[in-house]
Amino acid sequence: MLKVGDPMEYTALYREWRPDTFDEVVGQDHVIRILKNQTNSGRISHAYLFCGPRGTGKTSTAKIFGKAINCTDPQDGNPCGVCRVCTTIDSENNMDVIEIDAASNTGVDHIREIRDKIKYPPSVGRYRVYIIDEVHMLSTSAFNAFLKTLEEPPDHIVFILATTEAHKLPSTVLSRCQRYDFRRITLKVIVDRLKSIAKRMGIEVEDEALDTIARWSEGGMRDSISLFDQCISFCGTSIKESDVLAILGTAGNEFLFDVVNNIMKGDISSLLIQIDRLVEEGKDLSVFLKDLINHLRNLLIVDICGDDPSGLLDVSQSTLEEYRRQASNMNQSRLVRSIEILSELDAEIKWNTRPRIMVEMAMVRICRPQDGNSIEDLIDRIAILEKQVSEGIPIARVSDINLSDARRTDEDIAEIIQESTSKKLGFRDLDEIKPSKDEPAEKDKEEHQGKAQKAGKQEEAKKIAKDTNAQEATIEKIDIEEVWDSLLKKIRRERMAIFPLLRSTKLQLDSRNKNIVNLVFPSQQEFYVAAIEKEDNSQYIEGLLLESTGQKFKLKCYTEDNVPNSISKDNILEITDEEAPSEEEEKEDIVQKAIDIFGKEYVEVIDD
Amino acid sequence: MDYRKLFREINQGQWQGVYLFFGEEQYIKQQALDQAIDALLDPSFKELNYDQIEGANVDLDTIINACETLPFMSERRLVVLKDLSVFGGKSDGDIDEDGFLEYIKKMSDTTCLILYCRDGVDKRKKVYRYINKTGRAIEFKHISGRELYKWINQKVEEQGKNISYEAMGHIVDRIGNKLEDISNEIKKLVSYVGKRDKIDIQDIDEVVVPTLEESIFQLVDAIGEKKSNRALVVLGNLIYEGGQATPPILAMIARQFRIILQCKGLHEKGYNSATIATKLKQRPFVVRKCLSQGRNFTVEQLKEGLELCLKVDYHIKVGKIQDTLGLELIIVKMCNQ
Repeated sequence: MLKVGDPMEYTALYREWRPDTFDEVVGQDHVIRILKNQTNSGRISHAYLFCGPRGTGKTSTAKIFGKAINCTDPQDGNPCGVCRVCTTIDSENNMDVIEIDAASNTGVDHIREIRDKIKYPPSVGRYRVYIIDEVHMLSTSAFNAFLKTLEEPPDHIVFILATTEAHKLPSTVLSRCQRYDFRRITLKVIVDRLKSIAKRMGIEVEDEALDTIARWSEGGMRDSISLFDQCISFCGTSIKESDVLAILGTAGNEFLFDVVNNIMKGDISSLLIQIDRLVEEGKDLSVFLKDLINHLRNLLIVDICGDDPSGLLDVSQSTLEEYRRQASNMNQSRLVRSIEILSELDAEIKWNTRPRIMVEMAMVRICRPQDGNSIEDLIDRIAILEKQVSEGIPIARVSDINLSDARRTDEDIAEIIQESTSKKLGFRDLDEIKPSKDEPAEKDKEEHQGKAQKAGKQEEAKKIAKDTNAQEATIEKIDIEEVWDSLLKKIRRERMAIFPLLRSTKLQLDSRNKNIVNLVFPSQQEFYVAAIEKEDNSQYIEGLLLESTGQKFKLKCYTEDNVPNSISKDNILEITDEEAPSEEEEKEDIVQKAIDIFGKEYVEVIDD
Repeated sequence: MDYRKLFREINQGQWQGVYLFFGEEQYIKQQALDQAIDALLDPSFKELNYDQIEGANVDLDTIINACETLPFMSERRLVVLKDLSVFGGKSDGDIDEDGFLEYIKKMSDTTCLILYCRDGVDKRKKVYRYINKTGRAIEFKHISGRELYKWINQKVEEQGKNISYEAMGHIVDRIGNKLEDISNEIKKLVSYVGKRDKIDIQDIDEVVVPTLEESIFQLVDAIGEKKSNRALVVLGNLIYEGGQATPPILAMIARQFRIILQCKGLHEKGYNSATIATKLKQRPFVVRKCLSQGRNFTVEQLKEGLELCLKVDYHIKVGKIQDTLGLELIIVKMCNQ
């Protein structure tokens, strides 16, 4: 066992703790089970594709598999590690398990080289195994050359392709491989593995520290072990969470929960203090932003998925509970809005020389919908911020203005904003623009008054409009049968399906009720009647009628046999048209004017 | 000619002249070739009487040489020509098409020539029309329906396991009807269940990774039913487990919305699903699925969805939002409509 701090021979931890048997590969049970069974039963395919995110065990599994199928004395599918074959493969001069890095051998010549060599049988075992790592990097021609090899490989050859990006492989290659998808390793599995490594190396680690390491490695075992390695060189034999956070340059989870709590409360002053603390401690604000976005996203996921967010959210049970508690106080639209604001900021902050100000402004923007009493107040508040930023006054003073007492719903604020703008526009009396947050009763009164006034005005306007319309209104007569003929043509174009049903119908007005039209079908077509009476069809026809006559009708369908006697004899529709003529006249007028100015030959009337 | 008739002919030893194998179903095509080799050639002299030539960069003389060689200790010789350029859509072949056609018309009758194309062929080509007239052009199409289920069942039983009808349907739903893929998955499944005899739906869930298209169907289904949690899980599986890149996912979601919108529009004009399928050049089952998904959306919602996809696509590309997060927000917003 290698001891920490041994200067003689240092191997990176992730290489030292690379699994040697299938049983040591963690988090990929579905793959391992199949491979072990195949080793046992001897049903070895000639091409495998291992894909999945980095650090999930693809190459390690490939190496173990290569050994296992050659091993003379496999132990329940695992390579024994002691037989001649296993030791030969482990040694430098092995000829049977060959690893090729496709990322640096992308060309067609490299593949041809393999093709020429595969006809030779293995030197010690049963199979020669080619492990081609990062196979998606091969060039198109290399893939084509490789395809020929894959089509007819000799019996003693097994290819194992490993890649993080399976979708970059041509489908011809994909369909010739047995594909295994490696999954991200869950937080718990990583923590357990790190714990066992720590124990065997005699290192003391806080559980929270391991949690943080695992969370940061995003399901990659190699990343987590590398990070663990870093921590060991940084702290020696005892690792605390604060050390890990220092290495990562990030704020802890607790800090993020506090920040989000303050965002929810709209407590800008505390938020600014927290940002100040971050800067003081020399943390990177863009890392903080990413953490915060991720935190908000997790809250969103917890809020949506409720009981079972596993698979989307990889956190320990206690953290999940905390998320739940926090999420219960937030609504989804606010979360979405915060995420959007922060994401946008995240993109901009790289180009900005004063990231701190940007972050602070974003916090203000996020908190605004909850705390805004009036536009004036906000302007005031931003002014205070600007002053503070430029003068560097301790931020604590902002708390003099109590922000959290005025939490309101978004609609409230919208109304208030609208109100204050209208006030501004309506009466330019300075006394009226007084901040109203301390006098809610008065404000309400004003609101009512404003509303009443508004309503009164509207009614008046309506009245006037009515009068003028009455004067201008003309009566237009339309032959409903003609209308129906033209509508039928339109129906034929738009809804061929119902046209045959309507072909021999007549449309007639109703003498009793002006708002009813009767659609009369020839006798014995009750079936058609039923079809047209279906909601979407009758609505469609009513819509057409509205479009062409400008009047709203209710459609009633009958067959000739049972027509009600209310049907109007003359089919002339009298329409009291209120706008069309005047518009028409106006248009004529404009046209005439245009002709007068430009001359007739330069004027063309185009209707759109 | 139907490939079933071909298999009968192979087994009866009626086997002569020039054959053309083409079409999308690689598995049966390869099987046909293997059977032909077994039926025609005596294993002990196989090396002497069998030639396989890659069609790219080959000249006519090489082909004629291979075909005119007399068989050794056997009645027939078999020559397989793979992906000959005269059938390709692009006419960048080095072979003189007319010369080749002239040759195969008077080819030695001791040789059997199989022209094996990995993909489809250009059916306007003279060589194709000639071979088609002799009835020896065989197209291998994907099989489906009952025939497919029968095939799967047979494959599973060959390996000493059994499988229910629903489980077979589950496999096809997840990866489609390419026999190569199905065959690979069956091998995995058989190894996965180990000593058990029956392949269950749970085994399939665990082992068979669904295709992108199928996952997108599920995703849009879930959005349509406003089940944001299920939609997020499907998306998470695609990205984290399937290693799928985000741009294709976004494109596929937008595509799905568009197809639903198209289907809905045509349906309202009174077309039935078969007509819509031909009009939109989509497979009928796709149209049927889209029509049923369409019931959960209004036209307005679909349009909003498309606009949202466009907006998020833009935001991802200018770096305003991280890609996965952008996709998740699409789902959340669509479900909150």
